[in-house]
Amino acid sequence: MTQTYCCYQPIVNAMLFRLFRFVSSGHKRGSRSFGLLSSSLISACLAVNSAAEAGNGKSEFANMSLQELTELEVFDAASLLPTKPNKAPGTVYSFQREDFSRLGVRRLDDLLAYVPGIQLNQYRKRHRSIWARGQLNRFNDKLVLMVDGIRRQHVYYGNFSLGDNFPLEKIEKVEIIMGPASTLYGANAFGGIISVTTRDFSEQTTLEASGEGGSNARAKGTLLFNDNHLQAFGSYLGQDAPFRGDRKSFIGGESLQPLDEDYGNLFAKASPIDGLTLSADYYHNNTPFLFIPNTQDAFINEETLTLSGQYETGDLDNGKLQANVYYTWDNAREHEIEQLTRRLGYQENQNAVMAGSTVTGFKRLWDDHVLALGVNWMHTEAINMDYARYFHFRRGFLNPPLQGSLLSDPEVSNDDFAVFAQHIWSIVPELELTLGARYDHFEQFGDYPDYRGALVYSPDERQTVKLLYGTGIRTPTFREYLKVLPNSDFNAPIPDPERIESLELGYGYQWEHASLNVTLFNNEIDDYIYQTPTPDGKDVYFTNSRTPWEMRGVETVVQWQALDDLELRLSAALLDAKDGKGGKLPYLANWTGNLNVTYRYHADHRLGVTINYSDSRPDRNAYVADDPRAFITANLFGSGKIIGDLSYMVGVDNLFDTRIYDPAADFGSDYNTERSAREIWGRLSWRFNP
Amino acid sequence: MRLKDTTSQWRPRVAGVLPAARAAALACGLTVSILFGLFSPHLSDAADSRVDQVKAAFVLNIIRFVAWPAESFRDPAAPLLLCLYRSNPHGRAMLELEGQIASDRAVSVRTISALADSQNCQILLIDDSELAEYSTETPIQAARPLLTILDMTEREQTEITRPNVMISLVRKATRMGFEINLDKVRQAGLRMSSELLKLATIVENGG
Repeated sequence: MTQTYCCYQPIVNAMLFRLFRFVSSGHKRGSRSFGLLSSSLISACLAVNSAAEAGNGKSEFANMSLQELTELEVFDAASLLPTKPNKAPGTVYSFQREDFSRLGVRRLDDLLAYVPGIQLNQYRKRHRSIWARGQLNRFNDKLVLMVDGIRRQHVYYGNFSLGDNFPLEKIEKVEIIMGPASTLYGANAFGGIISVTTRDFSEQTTLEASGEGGSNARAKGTLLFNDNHLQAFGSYLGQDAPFRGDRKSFIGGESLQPLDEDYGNLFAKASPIDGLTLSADYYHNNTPFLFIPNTQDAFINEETLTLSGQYETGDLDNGKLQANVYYTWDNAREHEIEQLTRRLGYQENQNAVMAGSTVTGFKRLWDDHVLALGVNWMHTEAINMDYARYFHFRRGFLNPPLQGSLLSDPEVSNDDFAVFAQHIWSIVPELELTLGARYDHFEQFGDYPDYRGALVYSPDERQTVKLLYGTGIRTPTFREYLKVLPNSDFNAPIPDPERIESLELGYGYQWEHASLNVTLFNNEIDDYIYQTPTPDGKDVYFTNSRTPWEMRGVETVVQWQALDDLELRLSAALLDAKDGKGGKLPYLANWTGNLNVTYRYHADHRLGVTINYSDSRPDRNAYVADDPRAFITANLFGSGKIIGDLSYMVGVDNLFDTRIYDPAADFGSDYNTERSAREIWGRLSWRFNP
Repeated sequence: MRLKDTTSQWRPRVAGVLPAARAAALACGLTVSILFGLFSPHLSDAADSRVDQVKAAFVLNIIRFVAWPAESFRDPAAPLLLCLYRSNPHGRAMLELEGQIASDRAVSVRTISALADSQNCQILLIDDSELAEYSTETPIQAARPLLTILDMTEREQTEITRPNVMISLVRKATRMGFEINLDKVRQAGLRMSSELLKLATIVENGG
């Protein structure tokens, strides 16, 4: 330990003691204590910092090997071009692979808790809904998920899930771009983009294996082969979903649903010639319908295969071309088993295909201008959307069974096209202007233009100011505009596409050992699409808001290396979301945030704790049993090297087993859904160069 | 199921909230943090970004795999002198290499204003912005064991003449890599480990 660190050991100990004493007394002190504690912790740490800066400040990269350094993602791209993070024309949160262990996360949606402005909500089936800047949805259809530049979504719901189905072990980097990015990434990049980059090829042939175990009979294994032209990855996880047996169903009674589930993934990519990458990504998941009522058990089986090819050639000065093409087979089956007889009660298929291609050209002109021009095509097609209901929880077994298609057009097929352009102009070295425009032709919904402009001003090496304006569009998914209502005679109108207009102001400041980023945003959304009960209350359908919905707020991230071995990260967001009449939108928390403290107590070992906070989430139901109160949870984790290339991660998620209830954002009569219980887990990872 | 009477279409249920005190506490914490940070007396002249830290780590790791002839040092305890040519755009990240151990010697860092001042240096780090000046000063053939490293990571295109540059830090898409001109390394009397060469792109003379 350094001399400097030893002098401040008592102060560090006092801070940690106060933190752990608070945490150990549970969350009963509520949100006020959280605010007071975090503010006093930060203030005390900062007071120490002025003297502690004299320390030798070794960076976290100093202990990395040369090979590890060559595999680091150093640059990101919110404008499709590599650029340093603070100059990207948007609010971008970037997480590298080393951040997964530093923050103790095992799933992508756990990582999203570190992005201010994102709220997570447990859906009644299995996935967690991701709400970016107050954009309510039960399925993650207001965001776009890209994996290596290829769009991924479940076609019927327009949904994607970022839980255990998405192994982190094959991921190199995750970037979250908040706000409408439609001009670059197309329709539905409405609330933002989650861009995942898989592991890059390795200069040396490498084998990596990991094994993970934990509570709820969790057992997971992964294997990765990687060399400079070929990569193959496999992952399998089996467990009981980490939810309590006494959880309430979405109609308020008990649920007897078995919790066993499994997830499998096979992924391969190859680069047979320079610039060309071919990949295949196969998923097979079996998950429970967590909050089904006690009259039946329900299960969701999903199987997807995505084949893609990407080609890149040239450079900016002489002209650069990027092209990709993909085809996805997207199959899902949901079925229910009647509880007493164990007979099939219901089944539905959600089989579809999605395909697309994007070609983008880049060229630097006159040193200070970079132009990008592109075209995009996307095809979606329903293959099998049949359902059959044999049992109804109120009416018993049906004779004859109810059969049909989930969609009013069972053979729907859409081809959508777009052209887009982007211009980046370095006006002066400190000032950069990005302008983007996109014109979409939607086969079902017509033609729409969208625009985006960003000014990024960096007066010196420490500061960045960003001003952003953008528009975006989201067309309804198959389920939203073609949903059959078998239980109701209501004839639902087809919803219009929803449109967003967004204004952002961001500021970033970089010190030697700390950084601060603050973003203010104001979003106005016309024709917001949301789910609501039919007038007769017998079914649900999708409709547009009659007035614009307004979401505005502030997001901030403060990162601070307080001492050589002590890092703090505070993220916080304030959201004010209203409907067009000025009424507060339900289900959303005003304040959310978390505080992460990581302490490297040995050159090869570190310990971390994250405290998460959320305001209460007002529910429009008046059920006494519901309880979407404010909450505080804590996660504790550690990681490090055991010997050589053998490393470990251990952790406890929801350390004090806090019970948290999320409102069902259905604008109807569903009860709250309870979040997962405490999980204790451990992982060993081994890396080998044959 | 028991319902509470409601008089409005929907009524938010909120429990245990002290919004004013909580918001004020958090705002105070953030404000204090910002004020402390803004008026801290120990700000350095240059930012220490992640990119610069990675570059510094590359430099340190590279020089650990290079061997200098014994006559390059005045005595066995002499430090390994890393000289920054004319400027240090990497800020504190590069300065923090001071005292690190490489090849059984402690690294010492200093900035020199001209090539003539590099007589005692074992490593010369040149920023891309200084390449033009370096090209006018450097002799055509490398005559002594001075490891020259050029930072070209800000360039998309690396097909340029790099006289007397043995190692170039380059950008590879979103990552960093490095290129080695083995001919120049050998002419300078330096030896490199195969562990270093395995991870490098080997370039020809003239590059």
